[in-house]
Amino acid sequence: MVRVGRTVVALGMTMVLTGLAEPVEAPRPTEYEVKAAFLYNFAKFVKWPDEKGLGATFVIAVLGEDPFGGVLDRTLAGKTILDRKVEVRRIGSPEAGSRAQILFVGSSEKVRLAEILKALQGSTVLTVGETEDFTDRGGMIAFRLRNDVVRFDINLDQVERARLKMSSQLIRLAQRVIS
Amino acid sequence: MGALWSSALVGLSTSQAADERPDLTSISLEELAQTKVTSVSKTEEPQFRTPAAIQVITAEDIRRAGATSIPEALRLVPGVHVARLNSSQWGIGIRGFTSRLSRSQLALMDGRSLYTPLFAGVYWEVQDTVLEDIERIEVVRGPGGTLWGANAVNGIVNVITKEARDTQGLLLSAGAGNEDRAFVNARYGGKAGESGHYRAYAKYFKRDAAYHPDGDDFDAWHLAQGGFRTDWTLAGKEHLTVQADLYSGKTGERTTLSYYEAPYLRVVEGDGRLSGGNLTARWDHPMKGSALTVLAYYDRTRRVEPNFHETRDTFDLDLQYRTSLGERNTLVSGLGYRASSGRTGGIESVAFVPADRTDHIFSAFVHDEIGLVKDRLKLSLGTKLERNQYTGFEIQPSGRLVFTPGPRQALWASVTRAVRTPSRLERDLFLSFALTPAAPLFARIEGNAGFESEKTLAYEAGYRVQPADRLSLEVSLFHDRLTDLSSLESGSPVKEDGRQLFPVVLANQLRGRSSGGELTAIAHFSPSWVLRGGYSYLSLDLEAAPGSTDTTSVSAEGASPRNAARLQSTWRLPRDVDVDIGLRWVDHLPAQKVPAYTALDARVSWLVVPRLELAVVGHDLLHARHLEFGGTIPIEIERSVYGEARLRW
Repeated sequence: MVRVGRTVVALGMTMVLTGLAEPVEAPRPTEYEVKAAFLYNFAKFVKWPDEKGLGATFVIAVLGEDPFGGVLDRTLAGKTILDRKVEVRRIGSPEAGSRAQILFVGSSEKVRLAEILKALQGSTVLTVGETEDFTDRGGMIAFRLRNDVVRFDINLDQVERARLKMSSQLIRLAQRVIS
Repeated sequence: MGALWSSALVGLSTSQAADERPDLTSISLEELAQTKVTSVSKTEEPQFRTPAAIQVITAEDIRRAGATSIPEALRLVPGVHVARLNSSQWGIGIRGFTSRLSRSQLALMDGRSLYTPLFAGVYWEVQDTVLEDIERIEVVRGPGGTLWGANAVNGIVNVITKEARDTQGLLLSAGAGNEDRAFVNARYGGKAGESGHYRAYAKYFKRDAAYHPDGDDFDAWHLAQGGFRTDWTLAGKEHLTVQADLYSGKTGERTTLSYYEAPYLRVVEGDGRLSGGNLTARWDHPMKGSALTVLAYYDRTRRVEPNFHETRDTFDLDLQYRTSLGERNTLVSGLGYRASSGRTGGIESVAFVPADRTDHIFSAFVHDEIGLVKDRLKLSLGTKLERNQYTGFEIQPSGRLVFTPGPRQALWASVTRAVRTPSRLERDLFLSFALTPAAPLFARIEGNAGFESEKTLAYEAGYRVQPADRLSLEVSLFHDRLTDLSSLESGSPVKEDGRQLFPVVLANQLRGRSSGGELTAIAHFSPSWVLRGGYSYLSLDLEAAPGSTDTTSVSAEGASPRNAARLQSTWRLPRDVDVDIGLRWVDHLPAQKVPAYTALDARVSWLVVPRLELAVVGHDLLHARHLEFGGTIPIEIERSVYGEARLRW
C-alpha cells in the first residue's frame, strides 16, 4: 500500500516539476497561421476556368490592412500551386485584385465592400474575407472564428458566377453554404 | 504487448522539433478545420481546461452514429447508461441509478429545463428537435458544479441547437426502415430583416413496436413537432434569441392497473397522448468587461395516459451576470425564479394529494474563477442557493481546481455537494397496488410531507493528455458519499372502506457510496480514419439505515451496469463515402435480470452531389433482438435498419 502511494507521489511530482520547468511556449497555432494555411488549401480545392492562361506565378493578393503580417509569406514560402510559384502581393485597388487568383479582403475595407466586389465582377478571382457578413454581401468565402477554431462560410452562387469549380470536400467543411 | 503499443504510438506522433512553428500546409483540410488556435479573449471555456468530466457530442458525431433521437445519441458517452425499455421509453442513468424516470440528472435544451418536478425526472420521448440542427450536446458526468441547477446530482445533459444563421436554406430529410418506420424532417432558414436570421421546422416520425414474446405489440408510436428559432443582433453587440416548439404524439402503453372494485388488478392497454409546447427568449448584453444574460421561458406539457394524466405549466426567469474582478478573476452570478404548476387526475388508485399544486423555486448562484498561476492553475469556487417550498433552503457549494502544466496536459479535481430536491412523487403521491385480482388487498405507496432532499458529496478528479499529435486520452474518477436516499418503509396495515391496505411510506433511509470512472481515447490514425474508445466502471453500494424496513436498495444497485465499453470507428473513403461502425458492450444488470450484451451499429453514407446525401444505417445488428432493461414482461429491442436521404438547398 505504502509502495503504491510512493509511486503515485513520485509520478505526480515528475509531472508537476516538468510542467513548471517547460518554457512558456504555445505550440497551438495562431488564428492567422491557420487562415494562411486555408488560403493555400483553397487553391488546391478550387479549379480556375483557364489554368493554362494564368501568369507565371500563382497570385494571392491582400487588399486593405494586412492582418497576416509575415505569416502569409512564411506559410507560402517555397510552395507551388498548379506548377507555379506562389506570390503574395499587397494591393491598393480592386482592379489590381482582378489579376490575382485569390484575393483576401481585409476587414478595413468593410465599408467599401460593395464597390470592391462590383469591380471584380466578371473576373475569376476567389474572394476571401473575415467580416461577419462577407458572404451575405457577395464575397465567396468568409472566415469565422468560433470556439477557438477557424471555420468558414461559402457563397456558392458567387463562386459559380466567377466560373470557379469548388471541390465538394471543401464545400462540405463549410459551416454555412449560401446558394 | 508493449512493443505493439509503442509502435502504434510512434505511428501516431509526428516528428516535430519543439521550437519550430507547426507546418499547417501539410495537414489535411479536415484536420485544419479542427485545429484549435490560441485566442486572446476566452469567453467560452475550451473543454480541455474544464474541471469536470465533460464530453461534447458534436453534430457530426450524431450524424455518424445515425442516431434518430437524443437518447440514442447519448449512448456515445462513457458513463452514461442508456437502456431502451420499449419503442418509446428509455431509462437513462449517469454514473448509476438508471431508471425510466431518469432522476438525478439535469437535462436542458437551450437553457430550458427538460426536467419535471412531478417525479424529478425527464420524459425523454418528448425531448426532440431536428437532430441536424443540434450544434452540440454537452454531457457532464457528476454534479458539474454551481453553474447548473439543482438535481444535477449525477450528471447534466445540455442540448444546444445551432444559431439560426447556421441553419439557412432548405433541409429536407426522409427515411424509412423496419423499426424507424418512417420519418420526415423539413427545415427552412432565411434572413429576418437587416440583422436577423430565422429558421422554421416541422418533423414527424412513426416507430414500430419492440419485440414482445407474447406477440402483443402495443408500443408503436408516432410524434409530430414543429417550431422556429430567430436570432437578432441588435445595436452594439446585443443578441436576442426567440424560439418555440410545439409537439403532439401518441404512444402505446400497457400498464397493470389497480382498481378499488373487482377485478382489482387489470392489465390495460391504451394510448398515451403526449403534447406540449414552449416559448423561450434569451437576451445577451455584453458590456465593457462584463456581460448580462436574461433568459425567460414558458413550457406546457400535457400527458394523458391510461391510468393518469397531468397538465403542467412552467414559467422561468433567469438572470446571469459575468464580470471580471481584475486580470485573473472572473465572477459569474445569477438569480432565478421558476413557477411550475401541475394539475393531475387519474383512476382512484393513483392520486396526488392535493391534485393540483404550484411549486415556486427561487435560486441564486455565485461562481468565482481565480487564476492562481497564470495559464497554469485555476481555482473555481462557488455555491448555488435554492429555496423550494418543500425543504426550504438548500445550499450546494463546489470547489474545483485545474492544473495545466502545458498545452497537452490538464489535471483537475473537485469537491461538490449536490442535492436532489423532493418532487411531488415523494410528497403527494398515493399509489395503491392490488396484491391479487381476487381480493381487495392493496399495498399503497404513500408520499411523506417530511421527505427530505437526497444528498451527495462528490469527490472527483480527472486527467487529460495528448501524448502525441494524433492521440488524446482522458480519464475521470469519482467517489460519492450518498445520504438520505429514498427508501420505502413498511407501515402497519390499515382497514379503509372495506379494503385492507399495507402502507409503504417514502422516506430517506438509504445511504451508500458510489465510485468508478470513465476512460476515453481518441486516435487519429490518418486524416480519414479516427478510432474512439470508451470504458466506464461503476461500483455502487447501498444500505438501509438502522431501523429501516426497506428492501429496495439491492434493485437500485443492480439497475446499472458495472462495466461498459464502446469502440467507434469513423472512416472517410474517396468519392465522399463515409463508413462508421460502433461496437458497444454493456455488463449485466443483476436486479433487472438483464444479461450482458454486445451490439454493433453501422452506417454507410454517400454524398452523391453536394446537395444530396444518401445513407443506410443499421443498429443492433448482431442479434435479432436483445434485452436492455427488465420489466414484468421482458420487452426486447430488435435489430433495425433504415435508409435516409438528406437534401440541402
